[in-house]
Amino acid sequence: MSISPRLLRGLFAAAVAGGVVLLLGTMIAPERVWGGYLMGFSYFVGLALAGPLFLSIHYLTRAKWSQPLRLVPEAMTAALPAAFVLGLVLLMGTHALYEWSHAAVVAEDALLQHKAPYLNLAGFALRLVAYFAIWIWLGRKLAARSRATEPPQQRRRRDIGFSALFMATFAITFSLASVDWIKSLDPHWFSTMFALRTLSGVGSAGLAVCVIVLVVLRRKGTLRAVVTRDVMDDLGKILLALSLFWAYIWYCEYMIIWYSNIPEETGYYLLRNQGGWGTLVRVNLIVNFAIPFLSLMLRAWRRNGVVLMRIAGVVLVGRALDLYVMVDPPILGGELRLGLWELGPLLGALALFAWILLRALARTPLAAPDPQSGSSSAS
Amino acid sequence: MSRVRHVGVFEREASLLGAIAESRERGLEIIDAYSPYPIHGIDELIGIRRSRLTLVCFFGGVVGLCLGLGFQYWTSAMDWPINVGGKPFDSLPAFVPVGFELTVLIGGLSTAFALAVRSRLWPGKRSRAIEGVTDDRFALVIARADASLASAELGALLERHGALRVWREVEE
Repeated sequence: MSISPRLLRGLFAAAVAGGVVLLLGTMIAPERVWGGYLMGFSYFVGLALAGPLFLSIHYLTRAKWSQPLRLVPEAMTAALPAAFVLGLVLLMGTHALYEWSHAAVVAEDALLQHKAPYLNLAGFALRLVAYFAIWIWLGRKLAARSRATEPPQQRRRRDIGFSALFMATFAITFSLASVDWIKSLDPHWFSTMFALRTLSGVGSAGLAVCVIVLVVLRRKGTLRAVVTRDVMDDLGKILLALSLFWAYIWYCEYMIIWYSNIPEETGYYLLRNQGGWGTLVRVNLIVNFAIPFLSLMLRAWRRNGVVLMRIAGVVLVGRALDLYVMVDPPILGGELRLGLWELGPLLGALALFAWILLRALARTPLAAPDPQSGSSSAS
Repeated sequence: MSRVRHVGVFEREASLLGAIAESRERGLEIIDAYSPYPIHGIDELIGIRRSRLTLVCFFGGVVGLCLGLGFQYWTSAMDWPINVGGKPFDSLPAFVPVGFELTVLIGGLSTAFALAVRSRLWPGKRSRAIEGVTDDRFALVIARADASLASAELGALLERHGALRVWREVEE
């Protein structure tokens, strides 16, 4: 598959620019720029993890229809090692981001002392390395399954074995990681729903990337025979289901906190219901739920590549917005600010992801016969 | 005018599909096809239009949502306001679960009802199912679109594709 070198150069330049903004920001506005970096990092890791997640679901459900589509999640998995590097960079920003990382603050705060056995810098760093060790190892195994040449029975067993192992470990590691990186920005807050809320965002944003790549490949003619209107219809339906899932989880968390109204939980939403943030929370519900839900109900729109791609684009913007509302209120306080320091690192991280994804896709031989299906369906 | 329907019962999916293909080729009217399991893409083969049931479902759901939210607003904010835990009388978050349930309930019920009415199903209706199509047989019902083809040829067509039994029915 050929990808325009100009596009690749542009993406790489944008990623470097994001890095420069981060470097400048650490000297001028460290808190704001690290907030932006955390958004970019979370977005990046989520997209990279959607790769092995979709592959596992594919193998565990023994799906046939998604077999020729695996190349996209496989390419997304290739971004995991870079995500690890970004995670190591994040370790340098912990003091700017996390209240619990300051010994003086913890010493005067009974609750933070109570949480200190988990929320401490050494644990944070060790866990980060452990998460990525597991994810990268299983991600590589899963991405290589489509090229495996074992006898069918053994192949089947290992497909399922690695997928099940990933699912089980992912559930735990991802939950803990979302607590470490995002939730601990509000260290006094309690919620058992939080990991699921970040997971729903990972699912819909990951699928939106798959949709955009697949529709572009269809329009370029590379995957014309594979990404039929029926396949786009199905992808659209899953995107609709995921937007419902996101709204459902969002509401479940909000509803319980709003109804029971106890101080250790309401602080999170008090901050986010005021001023500009309050408006943004409502816009977030419209972008992540109302728009994809209502527009994907129309069969004709799901079957139209251009429209489907635009809706996927809305979902991707929605993911950034969702992360902004999750990450930045405790950093910026009551004041809503969005500028170079937030957008620079976020867009830089996304450009880096796109660069890695496209390079991985460029290496994918599209015409290679798939040993599992017995014939080459891609042309 | 009375119309003659030709029914053929087949043993295999492939025979059914073959008969459908030839019937279409010859411009016959395909009234219906029966199968014990769903055959992928058969709706297009026998030329069924897209179902409009989804519209019924959508508007049923909208009615349910408006009813659910509206009734709760009326009871809790207008007719009999009660202070619950200091929350405002008009509290949308509290109305969402019932609104959602009524969306699903009225959407689902109106769809089921519309399907029953449209397919002329009602309690006590005598069914005239073709024997075996819920078990291991496939059936095709065809008719002449015009008089260009002799009636006997329709039966012959069905038999040529391996029909086990072929018979004619006269529509009133």
